[in-house]
Amino acid sequence: MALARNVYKELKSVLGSKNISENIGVLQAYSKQPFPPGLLGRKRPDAVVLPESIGDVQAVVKLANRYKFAYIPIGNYNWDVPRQDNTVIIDLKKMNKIIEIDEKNMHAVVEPGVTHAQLQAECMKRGLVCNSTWGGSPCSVLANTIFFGVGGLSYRFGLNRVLLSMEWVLPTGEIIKTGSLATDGAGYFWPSGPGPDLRGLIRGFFGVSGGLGVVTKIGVKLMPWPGPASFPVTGVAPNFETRFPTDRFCFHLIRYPSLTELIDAMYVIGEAEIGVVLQRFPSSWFQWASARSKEEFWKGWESGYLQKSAENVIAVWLVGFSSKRQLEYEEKVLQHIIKKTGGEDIPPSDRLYKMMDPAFVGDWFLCGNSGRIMRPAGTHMIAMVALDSIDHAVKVTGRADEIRKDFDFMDDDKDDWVCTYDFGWQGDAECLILPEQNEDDMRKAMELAISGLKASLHDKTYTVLQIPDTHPILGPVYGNYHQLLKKIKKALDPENVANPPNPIRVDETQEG
Amino acid sequence: MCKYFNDIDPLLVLEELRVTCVEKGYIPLPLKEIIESIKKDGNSLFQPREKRGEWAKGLNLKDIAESKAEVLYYPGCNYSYGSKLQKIPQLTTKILTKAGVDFGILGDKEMCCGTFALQVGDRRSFTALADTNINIFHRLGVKKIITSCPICYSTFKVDYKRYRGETKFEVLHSTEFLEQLFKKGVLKLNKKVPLVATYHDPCHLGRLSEPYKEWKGKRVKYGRYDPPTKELRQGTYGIYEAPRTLLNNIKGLKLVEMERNKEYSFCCGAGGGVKYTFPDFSLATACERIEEAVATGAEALVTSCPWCESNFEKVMQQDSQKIKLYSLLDLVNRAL
Repeated sequence: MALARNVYKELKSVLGSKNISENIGVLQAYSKQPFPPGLLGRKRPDAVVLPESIGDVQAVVKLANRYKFAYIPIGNYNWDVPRQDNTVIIDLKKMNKIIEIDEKNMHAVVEPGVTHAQLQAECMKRGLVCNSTWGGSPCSVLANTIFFGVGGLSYRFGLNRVLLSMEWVLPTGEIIKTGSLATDGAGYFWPSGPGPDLRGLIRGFFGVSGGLGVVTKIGVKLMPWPGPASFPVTGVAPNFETRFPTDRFCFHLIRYPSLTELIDAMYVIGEAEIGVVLQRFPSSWFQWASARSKEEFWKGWESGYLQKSAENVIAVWLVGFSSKRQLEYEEKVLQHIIKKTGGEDIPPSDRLYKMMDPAFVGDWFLCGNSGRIMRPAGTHMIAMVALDSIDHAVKVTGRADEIRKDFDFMDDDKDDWVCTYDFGWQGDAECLILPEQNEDDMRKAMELAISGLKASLHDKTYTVLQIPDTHPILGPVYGNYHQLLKKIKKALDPENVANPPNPIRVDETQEG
Repeated sequence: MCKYFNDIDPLLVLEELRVTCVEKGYIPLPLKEIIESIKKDGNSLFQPREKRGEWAKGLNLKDIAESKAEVLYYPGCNYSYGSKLQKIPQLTTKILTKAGVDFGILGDKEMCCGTFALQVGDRRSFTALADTNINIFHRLGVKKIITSCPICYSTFKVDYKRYRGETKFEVLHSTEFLEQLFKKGVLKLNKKVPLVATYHDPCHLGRLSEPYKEWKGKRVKYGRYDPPTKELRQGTYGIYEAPRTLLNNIKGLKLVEMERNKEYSFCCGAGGGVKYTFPDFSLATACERIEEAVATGAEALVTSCPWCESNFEKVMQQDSQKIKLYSLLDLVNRAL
């Protein structure tokens, strides 16, 4: 179904013919989504537009309100695809400028099309570094930061703590400036005032996927970078090697006799506030992170080595951000903790350590080191998630094991991902499954996720699948938050054009 | 393609799509006319067949069809006919002669390698050209082909093998051969060429030239290969070091890299039939690459492909550029 001709013509007159398309090949490319549930029921958009400025965005949004078509803003990746007709994708890739890097006050201002790779490269030249994203370095800094803001460095840099002020086109087309930006000339450095601080609204827990308008600029915090001015990578793809200065960077893999001792150690390391990365990985992670192709992954995994050797292992990366002495201090503290908690510091000569180093240890500063999760099957799904304490995370992984038994996915990986954020104050479990990219498996994966959701509700643990369809189920359990969310959506988006049904369904008859 | 996450080769998918279109009769008119030119005159440039060997006039080179030689020097269409480009085969053959290589040329009997037909999806014309060329090379007892054109190079080395199996001749790009001569001490780069230069990796000498290994099988669960022996061609083993070795050993020349280099090199915009079907896009692509070269601070943009060179030159003629265009061989020659 195409947009009404007069609507298309108006969009074209606003954006210029080079910035709009309804070519079927282009539209098909914008309906790609490798993950369930987006893979189910996806549709092609009716047009794709490429705004070059906030003025363009505002004009498109106002036309959407006038002519009642839906729009989905995207950064550098299709997180969301149309699930109803009469939808326009607003691809913000042309708004790709790093507006400012304030070295003194350690923050950057970026447009939606700026990627992590782009920003990180510029930051490193200046002795600074931005948080990396688990979505991968080609992802939009802005989209990731207002969505979930999590990455491989969130253990040290904090979960969702780098977002500063925002410039935001509301669903009606009005522009709002938050935090310090609301004061003329003050810039983006402070998120909490004097303008409104709407970080909670735009992020929610799991983002709003453009359901509350289009954010066109944000400020992000930066951290000091003790490494070289450009990423120290050599080799030809995929045979890369990364070597960091050993006086500032040191990587450890530590093995524990049991999960209980491992978890205790994670708490102690976090309390000591050392390291930039502290995680327990699924055993298969070592293989998918190091394999250079799908076949290499499966060959390695099916050899059975990791199933035996990678159980109850944590990764700790120490970085001397401020000085060599900081690294020396953290190293001493870690060795003391390893001794006290009964761990075994796996030596660099060990096969497992060699799998980690040197090719991808540095990836934490590039892409958060999880993007290769797509390696084994081209997709994945998280059956259960737990974002609370580390203990809580472990409890949920145990429950996930019971649920996954009923499904014929990759079932010989007994470990789950346990990440920590904010120096161990938060624990995050991600219980993975690997469906095939076909409708049958996607449906099974969704059934499994719903089983996980029911189990979480029963156990009163953290629930995954915080998506429009599940809000009515989850709302009554969590203080009827869904009613408040619905009121917010209706107030800010009276015409329900901002990527419906996100963040919540207001019209029960709506498709999706 | 994404070289780290994907396990498919999108170029093969596009190739099949184009073949299907051509077989159903859908082919852009300019491309159809070029294919006709190749069939009629053996080149994609609408030039008369008899003029193909004119670049070698007065050089006294051996005609391989008349007198036997194991090495065939094959300049390709663009170097044979392009008036500004002809100096490259002339210089190359001068170096080969000086190095004592026993080689010959085909002159006006040389035919297009057929890549153009393959790239636009006319598989039938491509395989016919491949058969003709392979028969000529085998009949003449050619053991080694040295070509200056990266497109002919990857076509002989990769595409002939894909479509026609093993051949009896080895294929070398002239930069590879010159690197060998340099390493043996035969090629001496004695003279200074004071220049800050950046090198543009042509697609066909870089990522598209890596060796091809045949695999037959099917995709199974999770998109895995059965049998699992398929090797992905991601450009890892393309020719990247030979041109850099030569440039790095020219005294006074400082090589600086562009942001996108080697297997990640950005296309010049001329390949895949784009130059003829989408000329504006082709030039915009060349323009972007030139801007990237300028951003390195280099005074010289160096390449080793006639198609890249022609496309860059066209942009440079239109806009005054802060960078000068050089063929790699031109710089090597200055250093001799």
